[in-house]
Amino acid sequence: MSKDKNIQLSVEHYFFPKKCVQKERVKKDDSQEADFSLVIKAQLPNRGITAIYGPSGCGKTTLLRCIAGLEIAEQCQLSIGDIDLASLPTKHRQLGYVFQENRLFPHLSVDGNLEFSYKRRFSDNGPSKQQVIDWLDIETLLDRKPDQLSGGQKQRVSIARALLTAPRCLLLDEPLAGVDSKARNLILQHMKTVADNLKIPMVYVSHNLDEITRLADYLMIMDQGRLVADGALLDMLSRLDLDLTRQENAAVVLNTKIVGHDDHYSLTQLSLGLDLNLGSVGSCADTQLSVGRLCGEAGDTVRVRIPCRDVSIALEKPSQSSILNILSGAITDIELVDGARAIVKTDVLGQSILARITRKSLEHLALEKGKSVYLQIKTVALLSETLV
Amino acid sequence: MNLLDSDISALWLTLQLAAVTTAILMVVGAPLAWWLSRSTSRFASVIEATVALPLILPPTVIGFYLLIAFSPDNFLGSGWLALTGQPLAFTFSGLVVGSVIYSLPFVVQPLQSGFQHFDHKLLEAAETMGAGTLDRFINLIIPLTRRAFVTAALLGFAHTMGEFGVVLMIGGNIPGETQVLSIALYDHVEALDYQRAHWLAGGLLAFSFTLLILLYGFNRQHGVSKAGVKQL
Amino acid sequence: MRHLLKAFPKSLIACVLFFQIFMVPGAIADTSNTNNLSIATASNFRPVLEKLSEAFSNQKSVDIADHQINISSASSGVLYAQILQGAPFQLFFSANESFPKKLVAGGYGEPETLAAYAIGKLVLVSRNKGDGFINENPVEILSKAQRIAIANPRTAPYGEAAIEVLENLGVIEESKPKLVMGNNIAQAWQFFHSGNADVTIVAASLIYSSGQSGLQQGWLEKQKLNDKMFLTIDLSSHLKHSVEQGRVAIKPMSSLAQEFLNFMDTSAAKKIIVDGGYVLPMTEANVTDVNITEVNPAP
Repeated sequence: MSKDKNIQLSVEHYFFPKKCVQKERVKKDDSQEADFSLVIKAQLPNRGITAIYGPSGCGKTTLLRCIAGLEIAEQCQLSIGDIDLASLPTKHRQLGYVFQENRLFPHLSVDGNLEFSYKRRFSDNGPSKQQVIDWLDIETLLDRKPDQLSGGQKQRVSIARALLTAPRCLLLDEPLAGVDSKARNLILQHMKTVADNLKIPMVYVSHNLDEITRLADYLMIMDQGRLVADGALLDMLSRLDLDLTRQENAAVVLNTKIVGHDDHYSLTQLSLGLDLNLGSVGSCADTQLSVGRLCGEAGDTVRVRIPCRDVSIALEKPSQSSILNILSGAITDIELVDGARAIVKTDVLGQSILARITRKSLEHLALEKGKSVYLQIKTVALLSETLV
Repeated sequence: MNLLDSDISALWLTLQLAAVTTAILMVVGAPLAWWLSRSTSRFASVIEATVALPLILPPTVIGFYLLIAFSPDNFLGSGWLALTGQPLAFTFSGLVVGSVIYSLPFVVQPLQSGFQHFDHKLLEAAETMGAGTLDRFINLIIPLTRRAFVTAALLGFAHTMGEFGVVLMIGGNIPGETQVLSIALYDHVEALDYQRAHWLAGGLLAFSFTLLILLYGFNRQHGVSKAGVKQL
Repeated sequence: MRHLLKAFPKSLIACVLFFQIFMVPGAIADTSNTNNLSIATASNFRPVLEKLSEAFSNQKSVDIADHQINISSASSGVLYAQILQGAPFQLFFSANESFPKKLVAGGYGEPETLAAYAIGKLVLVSRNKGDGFINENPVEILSKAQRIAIANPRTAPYGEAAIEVLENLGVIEESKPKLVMGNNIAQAWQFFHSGNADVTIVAASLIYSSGQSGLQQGWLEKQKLNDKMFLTIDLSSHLKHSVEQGRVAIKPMSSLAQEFLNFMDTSAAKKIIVDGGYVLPMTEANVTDVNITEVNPAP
């Protein structure tokens, strides 16, 4: 990634309860650390969604606030492309910010809130009010006051409001914390729409792996104020050296392309290979997945999430099995998780899939690097995780 | 001027004094109240105490020190004289200075209280949308702390209307210039003109009462709303 | 703890009631007690009256038991009004004669006690500006004055007298916009003394509050404020009627009050009055008393 397409970030911020320069009179919520330091140096892509992931208290929110200028870091260098932001005050940085607690203005209606932001937009290159209303589906809410909205609705309005300033980058601080799961799904879909339509980068802070795997293109992992690792999401999710992959709900994300549809059985074929010449349905079955019938045409990209616990390994291709999705590939890495379990990383057409199996099976099957194996992926698991 | 004329002129003078003082206090008091509501420095409590002083000091004490301060022998008096060519004591301007001090806590304290209940996080949100300080003040703070502003203005006005002790010390009882309603009333009583005194006293009472009814009625009508209240 | 706090207000009320019932009535009762003398005086006479009461108390006379003298001062009009409303004064020293006369006419004052006790001198005091040239012409001084402080003519006889002087000098119209009125001559003096008024017309006795003989020296020293000399001009010649100050005892007269009035006729008392900057009324007793000298207050 060349420099002028990047967000360059270098932040050093030391948080001591007495000396910290805060803009709020209220004490920080992360009061675990008496002395807390944040030292981050990173380059983030200037497009797509970058997720910042880490446990509570690791400094993600602080980092985001430093980027926005809401916290004054001791040392901060920040530039988007060749625009230096660190020397600018918050109001000139042109960064949209969606807060965890939405912070809608209580004396204005939803429309009033949107208008507030729209009137102050940084340029005319941003989305129009109607566009944003459509993306976030808030047409019916316009006349209501914030206290008449549900949590999920408030957050949709917050996102809409932030977008209307035509920012050069959108920052989101755990926007879905405190939103119920049904609303969360809805919002994630909306955000996907927004991300697809908007050409600006988004930085999304969360400690929820589920949200991140559904949205992010790039991932930054933080812990205790330091950067642990960063990289493309797909790569990061299959890195066995990261704590990420040892989580219970660890999963990999694959980019697939629709090959075709099977209308008789209401299924869609997805290919892991991203080469356009994919042949027809049925060929190269070992690198294709069957999922429930999707909307879309051949050639459309579909992202698919496969939880590690739903993947099992066989040395021979199972023939009499209800499981439709069987992929073949070669083992690239093995990692023991704890006394009982291990994770096996397998490469299929350049993408990695992780399987969590018992150590007993590992030894029993004599699995080792380089070995060709077959991966059984429970179709049912795939369906529920598929993004539309 | 006959007595009736002087009473009307006293009324007019008092209204002017209250209006000018309130206007000045709103402009000066709001930033001060804002700073007090947000400051974490130890100095803030000193300022708070200073603001509260006129609440407990006898107005005659304020008047006494003001008279000394206004003297052309001293810094304030001579400065004013040099600046405007007019002495400060026994003038309307002198009364304004005295009234501003006297009514200061009645304006600053309601404002400070309103600001303290204001959710500061909303300001950060506005800042990220490109709103500057004045913008945020006018479009966010004032609408959400409207009640505090109304209370401060009405209290400041009513309190200045009733000012006596300070004016007694520094006014010089000049009709049309410093003879405010309360002084005119005092004058009538001393001169045993009780009928005139009744008119003035009764009028002032009715006016103050009406003002307060308006204030409390307004506050009740707009309820104890959660708008802008910080979630604790 | 809570029940303690709840009980607290009740106990507070009990305390207050206790004091009300047992302590205050005693104070009230005292005023009608012959051992207490309440005197109301015009502000200008207060310093002299204090000296008089001190001298009175120092007399060792068997007729006078342990007593206490309370002095209240204000402008004469205020005191007059208060007496009409029943204020518990036993003696009233006014700055004019009309208020005591009115009290007698209204049945409040003892007729036999109505008398003039002093004649006040009206003086003009001016801040002399700059060059040390002393101008003794009151008309010129008043014309050049920026602010003239007097007592409120509506309620203070010296204020009334001041207006009369201004009229007699022919400067009343040009002086009116420059007039600053204090509630009494004490406040008029304060306006002048603090520097806010450059000319004041008050009673000479105000300036003599040191009350000592050889006071001209003291007065001159007092005048040296920031190396500025104050100019004092006696305006008595410009008044048609001198400011005769009258006194009266309020009914019912107590024996202590009578004793005090008797004391005021002694030469010791008269000396105190004269030393205080007043002139004695032209009565036979005063004219023939060789121990009393008139002191001209003008330097």
